[in-house]
Amino acid sequence: MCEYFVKINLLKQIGVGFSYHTNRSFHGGEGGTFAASEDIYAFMRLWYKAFPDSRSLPFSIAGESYGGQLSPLPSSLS
Amino acid sequence: MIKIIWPAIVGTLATCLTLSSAAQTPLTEPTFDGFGGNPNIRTLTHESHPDHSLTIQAHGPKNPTIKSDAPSLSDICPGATSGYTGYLNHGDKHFYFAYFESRSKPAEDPLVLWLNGGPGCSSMTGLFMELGPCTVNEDGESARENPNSWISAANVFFLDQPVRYSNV
Repeated sequence: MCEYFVKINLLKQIGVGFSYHTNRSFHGGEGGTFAASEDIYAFMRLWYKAFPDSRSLPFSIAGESYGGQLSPLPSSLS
Repeated sequence: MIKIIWPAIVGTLATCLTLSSAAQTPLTEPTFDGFGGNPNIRTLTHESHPDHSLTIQAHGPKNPTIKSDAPSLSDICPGATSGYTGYLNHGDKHFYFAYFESRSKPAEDPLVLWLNGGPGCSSMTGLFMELGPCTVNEDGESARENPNSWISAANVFFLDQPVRYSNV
């Protein structure tokens, strides 16, 4: 199943799922797991600012497969 | 199966505009200006993260402040609760996310950020085939409620990332 998604994305030269980038010369040099973790960290900071009610809720990051690599890094930034 | 359902999902997500109702307690709405003249779409910023912004749009079934035309995802994704969809923006990268409130106690239940693996697997895999509010049917053209979804007991984000995975 994942192989299929990878093939689609390589052929179309776009991102994962509904995510996208607008720079056609972007070849992934800015990407990587650590960069992704900084984006995830910023995502949660933005969310908590907009929805302060949710700050009191227990928070977890969960994932499968390579999500096991992606999940621990944002927590190391906080 | 994937070949058939994926265009269907993308198409229906983009065009779903029907409102329904349910008893849920949403989070308090943020008070931000509308974006691009559309009061349903808001872009949020944070002074500590000047390179990032978050563009969000509420979806039904229930939203107290923009109830009149907040689209619902429950028509295409039975079992969906209210929440938000949008993008985390970082330069020319735009990470799609979908957020669903808990079916139980959204104001008390845990907050979970779900990431599929790969690298290169969309977290929509998790949403539509694993732990999301609905599961795509075998016909590839419809979905059914997923009673075992994690949103039964938690508020869940499904975040599509990374934008480009070839150098991960």
